[in-house]
Amino acid sequence: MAERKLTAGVKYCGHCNPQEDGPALVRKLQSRLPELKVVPWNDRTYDVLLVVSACPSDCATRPPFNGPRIEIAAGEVREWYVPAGHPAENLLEACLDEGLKVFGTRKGG
Amino acid sequence: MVMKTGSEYIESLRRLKTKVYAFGEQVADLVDNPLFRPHINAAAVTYDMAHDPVTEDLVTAVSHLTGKRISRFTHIHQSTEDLVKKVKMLRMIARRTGTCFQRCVGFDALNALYSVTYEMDQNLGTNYHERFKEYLLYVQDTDIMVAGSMTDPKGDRSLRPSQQADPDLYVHVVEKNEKGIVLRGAKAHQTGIVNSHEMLIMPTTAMTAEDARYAVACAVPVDAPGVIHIFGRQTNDSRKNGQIDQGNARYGIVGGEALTVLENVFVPWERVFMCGEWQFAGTLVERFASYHRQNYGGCKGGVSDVIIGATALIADYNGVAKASHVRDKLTEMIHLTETLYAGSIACSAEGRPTPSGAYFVDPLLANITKLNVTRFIYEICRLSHDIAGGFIATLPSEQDLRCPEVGPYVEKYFRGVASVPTEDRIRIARLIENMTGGTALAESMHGAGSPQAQRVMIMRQGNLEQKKKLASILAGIPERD
Ligand SMILES: Cc1cc2nc3c(=O)[nH]c(=O)nc-3n(C[C@H](O)[C@H](O)[C@H](O)COP(=O)(O)OP(=O)(O)OC[C@H]3O[C@@H](n4cnc5c(N)ncnc54)[C@H](O)[C@@H]3O)c2cc1C
Repeated sequence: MAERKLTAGVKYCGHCNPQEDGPALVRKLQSRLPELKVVPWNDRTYDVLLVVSACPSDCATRPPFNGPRIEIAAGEVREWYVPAGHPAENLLEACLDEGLKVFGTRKGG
Repeated sequence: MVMKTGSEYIESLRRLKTKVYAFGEQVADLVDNPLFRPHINAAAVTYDMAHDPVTEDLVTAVSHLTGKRISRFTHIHQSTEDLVKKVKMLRMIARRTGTCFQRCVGFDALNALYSVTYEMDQNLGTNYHERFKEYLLYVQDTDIMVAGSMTDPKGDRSLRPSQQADPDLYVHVVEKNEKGIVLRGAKAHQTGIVNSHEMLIMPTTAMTAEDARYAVACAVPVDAPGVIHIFGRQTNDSRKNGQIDQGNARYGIVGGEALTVLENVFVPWERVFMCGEWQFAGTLVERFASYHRQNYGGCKGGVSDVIIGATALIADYNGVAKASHVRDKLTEMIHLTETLYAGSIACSAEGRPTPSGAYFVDPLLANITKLNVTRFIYEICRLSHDIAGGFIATLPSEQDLRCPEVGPYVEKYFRGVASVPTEDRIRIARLIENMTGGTALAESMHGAGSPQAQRVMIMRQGNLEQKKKLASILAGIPERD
């Protein structure tokens, strides 16, 4: 895997009645991946879109983004698309290391 | 300019010349006055959350008019998803403020007027909808706070507006000229109006031809000449000095309501959205009321989340958290709260487009949600009082806690479990007291209309004839003409 800076654009669901603390999870991922820079989804260009919903209803709006994406809801990686060799693979791995489960059958990547 | 921050909102209030009276005096500095500041802080949260990456998904939307990102509080619902997100937003903000943050009333007024002006134009050949869209663009662009002004003082409730002994008991048009109209009357119980920028006036009831001059909807700046606000007392408003006794010193209780008097107020035609079309007054009232009743499982759900948390804490502090009846009562409080929330979500998910394209809630389910609020919140508060104990009604003041002579006694004799500081126990007790009684409780009964108003709409939408048919079929009764 390439060792270079990785910028994730983060989209949170709104946290109306959260079962998980989304920002805390993102902070944990950052501490696992020092090369990870986090920006809001509408900030500017980024390498990977990270969608974080705080409960299983997973209602975060999906911003239009054609690149790699990882979608998390309530302790599960719900869906992802990360091409092999892309630095976002590290982020996916960090999610699994953080104890997030994979929801259903593998869909992306 | 799109989407103010909380501090930009607060600063914008300083530029207004809003005429407010409280305790017999005109208020000079509204923004920094402790009587109003908590309500201003609560409204400011709605502005700040639009900029917070964690909450913006709920608190912003994309304008269908401009494609720009705007505050959801100025958005016209374009889908059932928008309606659902509104409810989630209200619950999320209420969990932060523990009280009313006021902006939903104007939000609902905008949505109601958007679709009803369209239908009026289709049916009567008027040109209100385009005019209203211009106003909406202005609201979305400036992100102003708009109060929703429906309720008239109403005088003798058995009489129609035109039959009242005093014609001013319902807002009405006293003059029309080429530039605009002149209004007289008053609007009662106006949530957040003293810290709003504008008010959207709507009729309070269905009208007849005789009431035509009372069928008026328009937008008025809250500091327009002739507008006077008389601020309502609240149960804790003499407790404004200090932090503990108010319970929720930062955000207050309820929305900070006022009686707003309109003494010959001029409104230019560009801001008039109904003037004499009495046939549509009832439609507008029902549209607004249903949107507004949709809210209550959201905002009251969030407020109840805080009450439940406070009650669970006081049970911990009192050493009774493990008692089975306490756990059972907390379970019941959660059950009631989620039932309210379920109603709000259901009426949103079952929403549908109006001819204007804007989405409307299922009115039957919205009315049922609000009717449940008139009961369930009382039960939630009753259970909270039960678990908290009588000291929520008899606690000495914050000054006594701080007093060198008697403070140590307060500290000693109001302690619960040894591991929790007395002040923590007192703080939670005061939060419960303020959130569950007096002004806060009455809002659940009458805000968005008294229970009978919901019952009337429930009966109208309840499809009783079809239910009779179902019973007849099963009972083997043949269909008769
Ligand atoms: C905290 C709070 C905030 C509010 N915020 C707003 C706001 O922002 N904007 C706004 O426009 N309004 C607001 N309201 C007003 C609210 O919608 C009204 O309180 C509600 O519609 C009831 O009207 P009322 O208070 O005049 O009570 P009333 O109408 O006097 O009702 C009292 C009782 O009389 C009954 N009754 C009334 N009329 C009749 C009749 N003709 N025949 C038989 N029975 C009748 C009612 O069913 C009820 O049981 C708010 C109210 C509260 C309490």
